[in-house]
Amino acid sequence: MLLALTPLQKLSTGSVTFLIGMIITFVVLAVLIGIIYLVNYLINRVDFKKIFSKKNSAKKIDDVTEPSSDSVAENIVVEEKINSAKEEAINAAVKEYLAKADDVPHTRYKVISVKKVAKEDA
Amino acid sequence: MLTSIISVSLGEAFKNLWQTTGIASPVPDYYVMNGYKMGIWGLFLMLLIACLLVYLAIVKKFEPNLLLSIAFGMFLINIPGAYAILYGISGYTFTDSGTNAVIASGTLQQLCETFNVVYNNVTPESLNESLRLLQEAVAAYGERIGAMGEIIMSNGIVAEKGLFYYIYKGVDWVIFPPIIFLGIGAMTDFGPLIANPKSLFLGAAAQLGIFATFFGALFLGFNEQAASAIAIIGGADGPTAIYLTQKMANSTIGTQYMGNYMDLLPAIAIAAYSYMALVPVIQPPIMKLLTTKKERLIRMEQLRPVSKKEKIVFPIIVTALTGIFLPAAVPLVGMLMLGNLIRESGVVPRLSNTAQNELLNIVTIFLGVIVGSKAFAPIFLSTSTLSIILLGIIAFSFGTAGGVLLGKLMCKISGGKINPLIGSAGVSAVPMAARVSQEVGRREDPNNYLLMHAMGPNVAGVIGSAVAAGVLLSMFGN
Repeated sequence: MLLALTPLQKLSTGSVTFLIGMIITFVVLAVLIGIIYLVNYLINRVDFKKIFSKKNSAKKIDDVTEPSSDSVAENIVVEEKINSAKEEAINAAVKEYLAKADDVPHTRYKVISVKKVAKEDA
Repeated sequence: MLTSIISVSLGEAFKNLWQTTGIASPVPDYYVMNGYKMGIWGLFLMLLIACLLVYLAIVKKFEPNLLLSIAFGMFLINIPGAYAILYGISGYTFTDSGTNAVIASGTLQQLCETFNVVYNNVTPESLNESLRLLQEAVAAYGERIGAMGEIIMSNGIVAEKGLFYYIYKGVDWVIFPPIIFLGIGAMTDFGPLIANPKSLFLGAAAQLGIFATFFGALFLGFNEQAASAIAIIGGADGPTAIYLTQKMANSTIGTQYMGNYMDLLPAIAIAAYSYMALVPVIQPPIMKLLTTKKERLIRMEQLRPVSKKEKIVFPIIVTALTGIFLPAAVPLVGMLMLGNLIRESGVVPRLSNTAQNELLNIVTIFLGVIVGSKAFAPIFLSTSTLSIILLGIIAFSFGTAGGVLLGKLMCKISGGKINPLIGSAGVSAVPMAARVSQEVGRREDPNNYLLMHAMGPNVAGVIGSAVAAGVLLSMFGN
């Protein structure tokens, strides 16, 4: 059990082990920290459903051709139209409701859900 | 004639009865030859220490789940004569190194009778002389029967292997500590750590005690393997301490000092668990010494909620990462993370319950009693035990200080958003160290809730100490 090392050798072995040990421990845990942040970002910030559904819908629309920049622009325009239609519909619904019931206090309203209906029903 | 036959038989019977008692042969010859001089009084002293530990476990509730089993294991093994029953009869085996054939095996007394050597057990010196003569006689016998190589003598259990001999295999084969880690993983919520990953740094800083004590152990005369095993006490993690000590003992270099490593195990395990139990006593003065009142009053922001997906991905990533960077730590970290995955997956509640209750409890009983049983007076009552106890408290104090000092640094960098008290929880006594952070914080401000914040560094400490053990094992364990 007793070492035949000189005090100088003990000092160097101890110092090297101390430094290497602390550095490796910190590095391994630092890499782990980085990966936890990455996983957090991937799971909580990136909407995979959206990404994959967009890709799938793009594939369905155009199985053969590559998606062009024109089609992307078109999608944005369509989305904007849908959003403005939603806004108009909500405003109309709120106005109609307030006109019917005078005693309803004029407080803030919250839209619980927006339902898409078929063209012929609209 | 008839009277003489009966009297001889009765005399033999009484002689046999006397020899089986613990008073006639309280400790195996091997320990007497190796300088153990306290005889039966050493055993009585250890019985008193065992009773003191039983008292601490039951009345003072110091880590009773483990301390009670350790104390009783210590009590059992130090009952005079119990060693031979619990572990088996120890003796010597002579093997032909050329053919690996066993030439002779038995107790020293049996072998002396077989080879016509005088068995003299009056003093350690006379016993050693008997052994020397026996070695010569066996070597001559080996030559006569045409042994192919050198005659190698080894000491160990040679007959009637007892209960503890078999239970000890769980430690010898390094099975129990990883199973304990499986249970701990199944009990641990890594949510606070995932919510605040920076707390992993505090878990790393608290390993300062391990590497600083390695330094000290070298200067006290221990070799690298022994110093590593002693230093790991600073991680405040009993299973890791046992794991590393045993792995070092089984290593190529370690086997050269096998006897000595076996001697270190009980002192290291008992020191590790005792200091874990003494966390509420050891840590607060160091925490107060290194922090200002203003720092202790810092209230931390509430942690973000952690999704189930993150909790499931976490153990898989940690295991993979440890495997890549530090394969030596995989048995501990891997089992810890398996337990945690079982818990977080939510699909195997029965396995999760078993891992954190029945399995953990069964192994804890076995581990406790077997560690205690290694505190046999001839092994335990030595100066190296005192050195280990002393180095252990240094390791633990340095670990606490390392965590708190990094906590202070992080407090400065974050603009006062981190309370440095949570740094002390970086030593991995879960959840005791986190509770101490909470208590010290609440003494300054009763409405300051640091517990969840301290749980992050606390579980990080478990990973950190396993990583530190892996580092030491990689450096000195081959």
